[in-house]
Amino acid sequence: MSKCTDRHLGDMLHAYELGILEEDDQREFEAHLLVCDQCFERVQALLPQAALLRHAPEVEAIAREAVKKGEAEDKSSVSLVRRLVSTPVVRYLAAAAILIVAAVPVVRYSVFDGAPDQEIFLSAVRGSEDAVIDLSAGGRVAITFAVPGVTESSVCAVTIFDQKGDTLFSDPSLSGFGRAGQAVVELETSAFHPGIYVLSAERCTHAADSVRQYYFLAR
Amino acid sequence: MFETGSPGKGKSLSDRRLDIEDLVVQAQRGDSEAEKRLFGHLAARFRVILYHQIQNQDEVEDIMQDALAAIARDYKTLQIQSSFAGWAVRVLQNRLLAFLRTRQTNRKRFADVDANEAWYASESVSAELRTDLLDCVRKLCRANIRYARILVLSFQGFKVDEVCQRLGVTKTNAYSLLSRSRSLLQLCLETGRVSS
Repeated sequence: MSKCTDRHLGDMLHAYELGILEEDDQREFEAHLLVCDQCFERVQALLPQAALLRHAPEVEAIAREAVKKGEAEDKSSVSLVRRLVSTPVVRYLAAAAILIVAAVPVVRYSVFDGAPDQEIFLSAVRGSEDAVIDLSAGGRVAITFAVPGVTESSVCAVTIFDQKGDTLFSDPSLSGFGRAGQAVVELETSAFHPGIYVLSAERCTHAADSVRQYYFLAR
Repeated sequence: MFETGSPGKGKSLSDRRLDIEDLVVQAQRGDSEAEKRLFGHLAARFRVILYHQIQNQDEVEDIMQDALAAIARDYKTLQIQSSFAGWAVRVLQNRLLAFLRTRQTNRKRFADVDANEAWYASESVSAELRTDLLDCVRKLCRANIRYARILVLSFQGFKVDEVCQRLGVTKTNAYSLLSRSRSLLQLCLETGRVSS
């Protein structure tokens, strides 16, 4: 299948299928469908399913049930935590934990719920040999990186690309860095293939360098 | 009215890949083969775009032919300011809006059932397709509560801006989440699982 001719518009595909694009974006995406073979074939492949996702009351019922269940589980977790935290021992441990956690504040850039399956830490000092994604593990990988000099109000353009220059991840205005200048990007392991990758943090406000790059492996 | 079949056999892949703007230029210069390919291409794409909004094949064909006729009438003499694709989609959407207004008027007169509601309840959507999809949606919503929330908000009529505000995410985050969820949905439809 040919590649998408406009990655920014290609990202809107499922939003289009669900019928939630703003009107202007919808017109733009439909014009994109006239010229992009990949997106057209993808939309065509799930045409009846997408229509069901938009119209079938059963889909709405399933989604509502999942949200309700998720909210109930959140409430019961909070209630359990409150009961645990009220004990003196746990209060002492919690206070100690806060001191430890505060030393390494990170912000997680994730669109997933739950903990990742593996984590790698990128460092210009340690080098790429230590930062390796295990493709056989599957699941999600959290990629932690730090940019010297950035503050909690800093914004960076962050991109992850492979040896061929194909982009896996891109955010032109990633914000929410922790006090230690660390941030985390979470991706599906299936997005990677064996090889060398680069995480590039550019045009970071308050940063010491204009471009910071980290290398890591996937195998 | 317009031949809408795919290009003939024997053509290489590079021949089949086409730049629509180049085709328009060639067609405007009187190349009948280019014009035929252009309108065949438009017909195939218009069908998919229209089906997104109207799941009635007859109506899709009517609107498509109407739009193609308007484009055929105007494209050779029109000075297109932006892109041909953008202009062609606007022509299509105008025809679609005109159709929907007519249908709305007729519905008030004849108390017609919403065609979309009738479609998904009809036998034209196979029971197997429906069952498979619902099963996968259930698995996906359990695995990713944010996707479930987006589905609920979409049924409530919210668009991306409002969805992002309610979920507390950026548009980039939302599109990433939807993109990954779609990949998992497709995986599930093929294998029955939402994880590899």
